[in-house]
Order: sequence, then C-alpha cells, then structure tokens
Amino acid sequence: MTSVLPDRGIRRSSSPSAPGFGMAPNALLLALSTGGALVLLLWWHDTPATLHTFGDWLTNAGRITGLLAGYVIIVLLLLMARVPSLERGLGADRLARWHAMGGRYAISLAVAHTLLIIWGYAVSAHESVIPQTGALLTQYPDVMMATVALGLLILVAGVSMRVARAHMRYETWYYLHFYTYLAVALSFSHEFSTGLDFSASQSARVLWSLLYISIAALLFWYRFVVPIRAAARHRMVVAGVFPEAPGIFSVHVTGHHLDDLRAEPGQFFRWRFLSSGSWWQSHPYSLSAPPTDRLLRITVKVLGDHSHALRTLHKGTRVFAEGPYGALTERRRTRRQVLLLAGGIGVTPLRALFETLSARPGDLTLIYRASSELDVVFRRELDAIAQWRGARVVYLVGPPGGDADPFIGRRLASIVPDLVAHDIYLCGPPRMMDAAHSALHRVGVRRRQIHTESFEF
Amino acid sequence: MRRFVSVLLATVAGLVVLLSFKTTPAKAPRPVALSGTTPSASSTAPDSSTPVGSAATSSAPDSSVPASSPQPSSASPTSAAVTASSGPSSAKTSPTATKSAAKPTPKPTAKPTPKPTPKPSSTTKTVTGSVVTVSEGRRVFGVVQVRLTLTNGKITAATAIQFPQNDGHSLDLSNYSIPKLSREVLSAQSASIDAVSSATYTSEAYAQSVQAALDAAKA
Amino acid sequence: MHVEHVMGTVVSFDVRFTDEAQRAPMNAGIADAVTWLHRVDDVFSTYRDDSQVSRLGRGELRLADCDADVEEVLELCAQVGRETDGYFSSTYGGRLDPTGVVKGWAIQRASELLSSAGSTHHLVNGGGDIQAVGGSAPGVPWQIGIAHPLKRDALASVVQLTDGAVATSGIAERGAHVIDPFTGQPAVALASVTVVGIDLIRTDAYATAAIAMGERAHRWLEGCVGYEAFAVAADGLRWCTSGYSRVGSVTAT
Repeated sequence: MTSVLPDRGIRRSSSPSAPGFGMAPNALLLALSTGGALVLLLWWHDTPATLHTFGDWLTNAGRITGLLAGYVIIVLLLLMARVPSLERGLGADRLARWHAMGGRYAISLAVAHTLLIIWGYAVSAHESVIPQTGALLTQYPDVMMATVALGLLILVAGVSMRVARAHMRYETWYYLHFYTYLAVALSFSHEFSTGLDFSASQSARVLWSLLYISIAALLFWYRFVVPIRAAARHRMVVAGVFPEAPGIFSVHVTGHHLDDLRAEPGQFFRWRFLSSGSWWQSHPYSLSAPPTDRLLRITVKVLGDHSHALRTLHKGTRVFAEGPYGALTERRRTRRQVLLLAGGIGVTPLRALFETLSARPGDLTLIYRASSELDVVFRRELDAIAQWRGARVVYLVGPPGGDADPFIGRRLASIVPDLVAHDIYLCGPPRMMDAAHSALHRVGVRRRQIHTESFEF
Repeated sequence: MRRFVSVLLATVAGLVVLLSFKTTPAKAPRPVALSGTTPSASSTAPDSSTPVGSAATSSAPDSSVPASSPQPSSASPTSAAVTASSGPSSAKTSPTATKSAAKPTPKPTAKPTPKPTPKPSSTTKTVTGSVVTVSEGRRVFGVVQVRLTLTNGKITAATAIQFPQNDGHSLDLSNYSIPKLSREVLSAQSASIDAVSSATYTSEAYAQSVQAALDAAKA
Repeated sequence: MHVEHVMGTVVSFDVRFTDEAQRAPMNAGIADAVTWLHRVDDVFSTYRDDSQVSRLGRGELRLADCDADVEEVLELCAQVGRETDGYFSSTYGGRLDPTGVVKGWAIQRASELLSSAGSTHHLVNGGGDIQAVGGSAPGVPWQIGIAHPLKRDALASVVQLTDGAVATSGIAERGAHVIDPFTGQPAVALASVTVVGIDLIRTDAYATAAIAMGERAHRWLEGCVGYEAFAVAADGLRWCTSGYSRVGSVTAT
C-alpha cells in the first residue's frame, strides 16, 4: 500500500512557481500561419504574371503545393520536438492532435505536388504523362530520391490510419513513423536542385536551410540532449512497485534533485524503464501524487504488453523520465471553485491535483466515475484528503447510462450546484470525456472553464 | 474527417485564387515601345574625325538647342521635331521623350562631354532576364537565363545561368523569370538597344553577351 | 524571338508583328530560315571535315559537284577581294575559308526568307552580324548597339537603322584572327571595325577587310559609297567615316 499524506516528505506548495513560459495555442497558430504566408510569398515574388496556359497553372499549382508540403512537414517536426514552451502552453495531447491533422495534410500536399508537376510538365511539353514521369525520374537524380521519400510518406500515412493501427502494436507503428525523418532527408535535395524558387535564389536557399537546421537543432536538443542530461543528473531508479487494485499498481520512482524537474501536480512524464522488456519504449504516465524532492509516483492500469511488464519491475531498475509535460495544472485556474471530473484511470493526475489545488473548504469537488468497484483506486487517500481539506469526493460507480452516470440530462448540475462557477478539470477515456463535455455544455459551462487532458494520443 | 475535407477544399480554392492573380491572357508581342531616346543624329553634324562625345539621349536637346537647355520640357519638343523619323513615331515617343529628356540635368552644354544621365541614386542593381530556349534544329539545347548587373544604369556584368535539358522543366522555367530587363534600365550611355553588333561570338561566349540578355528580355 | 545555335555561333531572330494572325506564318518563316542556316552549316562549315567546302578545299570534290551556292559564294569572295584591294581573301594560308562571306550571305538570305514569309519588321543577328528590315515598329528604327571591343559589356556606339546591315569585325571575341594577307601577320592595329550598309554580304566582308587593312582602313572606307564605318583602334581612339553620323552616334567614353 502506498504511504501518503503527512507521512511523506516535503510537500510542495500548491501554488505553482511558474517554471517557464507557455505559448498560447492561438499565438502558435498565428506564427505558423505567418510562416506559411511567407512561403507563399516566395512563390508570389518569383512568379511573373504571365501564366496563361493550362500547363502553366498545373505546374505552378505543383510548385505551390510543393512549397507548402515542405513547410508543413518541418512544422510537424517542430510540434514533436518536445519544446518546453509548446508542451506547457498547448499540452501534449493537443500537440499530438495537431501533428496528426497536419500529417494528413502534409502528405496530401506532397502527393498533390507530385501529380501536378508531372501533369503540368506533360501538358506544357505536349507529352503524355508516362514518358514525362520517366523523364523526371531519370534526368534528375534528386527526383528519384524524392520519389522514394514520397513512397515512405505514403507508407507512414497508411500505417497511421486507424484501421491499420488497430491491427498493429503501438511500438511497431511508432518505429515505422520514424521513417518520416528519412523521407525529409531524401526529399531535401530536390527542393534545391529542381525547385524553381530555390534553384535560382541563394537567399531563399539560405533561409529554408536555416529553418530546417533550427528545427533539427531543437529536435536534437530537446529529445536527446535534455533527457540525457536529466538522466545523468537525477539518476532515477524504481523504489518499489505496489498494487492498488486488481490490475492497477503504482510505481514509486526515486532520484536526486527531483525538485529541479519543477513538475507540477497534474503533469506527466514520458517514462523509459531500463529493464529487458521495456528499455526501448517510452510511455506517458501521469504523476498520481504531488512530486517531492525524493519521490515520484505513477499509477498504471494494465492495458497492454508494456504496462504488464511494468508490474514486474525490480527495485533499483534505472528509469529515464522525460518531462514534465502536460497542461492540466493549477495555472489553468480561472475560478475559485473547482470540480475534478475523473473517469477510470484518468483519476491519476486529478488525484495529485486534489491534494494540492488551492481551494477553501467547500470549493473543491472530485467526482470519480468508474464502471466497477474494482476499478476504484486511492479510495482511502481520497477520503483522507477530502476530510482534512474540507473538500468533497463523490464516487459514481456503475455502467454508463445507469443511475451512476452523471452525464445524463442535468444530473451533473444537481450533484454540483453552481456548476457554471467552477473550473472543471477533466480526465478519462475518450467516450467519458465526450459525454462529460456534452453534459457540461448543456448546463452552460463555457469551454474556457474546462481543462482536459486526453490519454489517447 | 469533415474538417480535413474542408481544409483540402480551402487549399484548392486558395490555389485558384493565387494562380489567377498571376494569369494574363496570351497576346502577340507588340512592337516594343522605345523609351523615347531618339538621338539627335540629324541635329548634330560633327566633324567625322572628332569623337562625338555626346550621350545619345541627354545630348539631343543639349547640343542642338543650347539656349533652351535650362528648360528641359521645351527641349523635348525640339528633339522630337528634329527627329528624322516620321510623325507617328514622335507622337509615340514624345511622352517618354519628355521623361528621359527631363532626366538629364538642364545645365548649359558648355562641355562637349556631358555626363550620362544622372540618376538620383548611384546604385548597383541586378536584374534577371527571362529565359530563352535555345535549340539546335529540333533538339532543345537548353535554356539560358541571363543575369545582368547594372551600375548607374550601365551594364557592368552579365552572367548566364544554364539549366539542364528537360522539355517540361525548361518550359516551366521560361515562364518563370520575370522579364525585368526593362528598357529604361539599359544604360543612358546607349539608347535603348534592340541588338548588339560585335565581332563574331562563339556559342559559349554568346551566353555571356549583352545580346543574350536582350534576347532573354524579349523572349 | 528565336535563338539558334548554328555555324559555331548563335543566331538571334527578332521578328515583330502586330497581328496575331501573322504569328503562324512568322514562325514558319523562322523555321525556314533555321533550316536554311543549318544547310549552310552543313555545306560550308570549315570546322567539319565532311562539309562540301572542306572537302573541296582538300581537293576531294570538284566545284561542279558542289551545291550551286558554293560557286556563288566563291564568286562573291572573288568580287569582294577585288573591291577590297585584296585585303579580303577567301584563302588563308592556302586553305579555303570563305567564312568571311558565308556568314553575312547566309544571314542576309535568312532575312530574305523571313521577308518572303511576310515579315516587314525583323532583325536577324548572326553572331554579331545584323540584317535589319523595317525598323522595330512602323516609323521606329532599330537601335543597334556596337559592342566596345576593349570594355566588356559596354557599347562604343549606337546605330539607328530601319533597313540595312551592320557588321563588326575585330579582336574582341576571338583575338587577332584576321591575317593581313600581304604580310601574313595578324592585323592588330584596329580593335574593331563596324560597317553599316545595305547588304550584309559586303558589310561583313568589308569589316573583315578593314581589320586586315589596319591604318589604311579609314581612307578606304571613306571611299566606299553607300557604306559607313566606325572603328575603335587598339589604343582606344575612335574614328568614323564622314557620313557615319547619319546612322550612328558615338557614346561618351
């Protein structure tokens, strides 16, 4: 059993010390759109107003889509670079969603670019498409590489589709996904040697290279250097594995200078446990208790191979933890009253927030929704916290749609009076979160008041 | 999915909008209007052995009508009238003649060698001509694009850029460059030029030549 | 506008028209002219061992076996040779080289082909030798710059021509390649000579002859009725014939 509450070491104060800058989503969108506009401006500036044939249109549409594809792809890599200000400001799940949507768009652009250029050249040269394709492939070595890159991108798109992922292990998909780096590298040279906007303008080449180099540098820094330095500094190891409920257990991780991580309750890390079965994967798990200088706790539900393997971690196993990530924190607060809405294993980050969110007695409520009693964890801790804080914890155990379901009608409002005056922190499986969103919306809660983190990225 | 489709449609719409801004209907090449630099061939009758050190444009009003030089506007009708070319041409060229005649400083023509038309700023400028498709018989040899460097309006450097042979690509290139080699830009030292006569240049030397730049600008 | 690599140099066709309906015949005319030029190259090129002229020069062919054009060209060479007091010659060091006439003659004929296709305004520039027709627009003469032989990309003079020919010979492109037939030495006194006339054949040949003449060229050219000339000497000093100002102006320095 976990020891918790007053027995533990130094408890962090609940007011966040604001470790750093978090970029607002709209600001990022604005910056990215501006970049896209600049890329289009490059085409605009280089192109005379003398297009008049169908072939001209096709070819120039091909140029534009090519430029945009190159831009969107590097933006996708930026989103995945684990840049702290992006992680803080947008949240890992939103970054992942944007990456997924952007990925579909980028690959569509790349395919469109290829087809438009082939067709456009063919029309302009009054040739048919097949020999034109052959000409493009054979007369420019870089185009052959770019074609391979396109193939890789299509492959990655294919395996990322939901139908494919259902039949595939997460790890397989994850490693196939890395072929996008290879695709980017292969296609880069044809941009400069064949792309009109670059082949004749050195300044365009320089700027484009700078863009790619800086994002590569960010990737390298935040995905390699920072974790390695952190690992050397914190030297985290498994302190113990403790069962919480059937199929649910906690892993205690200890280390040095953990305060330097400046993790906040509600956040998560990407964990890599260096044991034989699990060293080559990293998975995100939220802290299920407020972090201290000596202890981090995560709570895991057995859902797949990896989580299963964690159960048998030995004490002393080395741990790499990348993070902290996540935007589900105190800093999102807008109101005095708070409702924590937990579904299933989504209770983990909320459990940490339940203990540390600054709230006066009566202002804090936790609704814990679980489909069966066996799924409920931390009952003792939650009750204890509720008691000494003057907070309220409501357990709603039962299948969806039944009496225990708070998302039917206006039940939620009856459980928590004055719901509109609350900040809502929401975490759970997607279906539960959707139902919660609808229910909240029905009652009049604005989106600005709802703070969520989805685990399903 | 729905949002994705709408993004794709928005992209297509955006492409159409962008492309339509850059579209002009095809038209036959009109005779290229001169910038009104009708030199005073008929007005000056210098001694053959003396180098007539007069700039073709700016000297026209000056050397023929010294008295009226402080007023450039009055000089231009004179030069237009003096032009041996027929009436319509002066009508065509006089608006621009006024412009280019106004450019030279209206100083008295005491010295026989007036300066070239002073431009407000002495800048070095690089212009890139459009691309000329060069062929030998039926074989498309390739394309030549010429980049000129102009200092104070005088051509000081010309470099040729060659592109690999591929019909579709070369044709794409031929639409690509903006015909920036405008007539006004060609040097004040020379009138706007249609062609250059020189000792016979080889194919390789052509690419570096001013003729190549002119061809490219006209293509 | 069309540019063609042929005869070891580049020929630029500048054809102007106002009516879109003329485009097709103009293009056809240009195509004819291009075909013609390639034929000339095949027959007359001294760089190709298999051209008629080369074989004729080696004695493998008799004149009667060659194209009629060859005879015509050689006859022209003889005439021009006489007109230039022997300074123009089609045999250099014993080798048959009618190039000095062939180029001008070929370009002039190409221009005639364009005219017969209906062109009223065109300019053909064959490697620096120009035949111009009609001006660049009705009433607007062609503006032809003369490359300065000593200053790269500068112009030494400007010629205005509605109908006529301009040819320049000199050392700028291929060095001192013109040999004085009387001394056997390369002619170096003049950096370039530009002749303006009606027909390109003689304009071209006279320019070449003038280079060979050196100091004598000025007086000789003065005496050529219907041809004006402008020259830049090797030391940069420029001179022109007395009627030159009717067609051209000299640029400042």
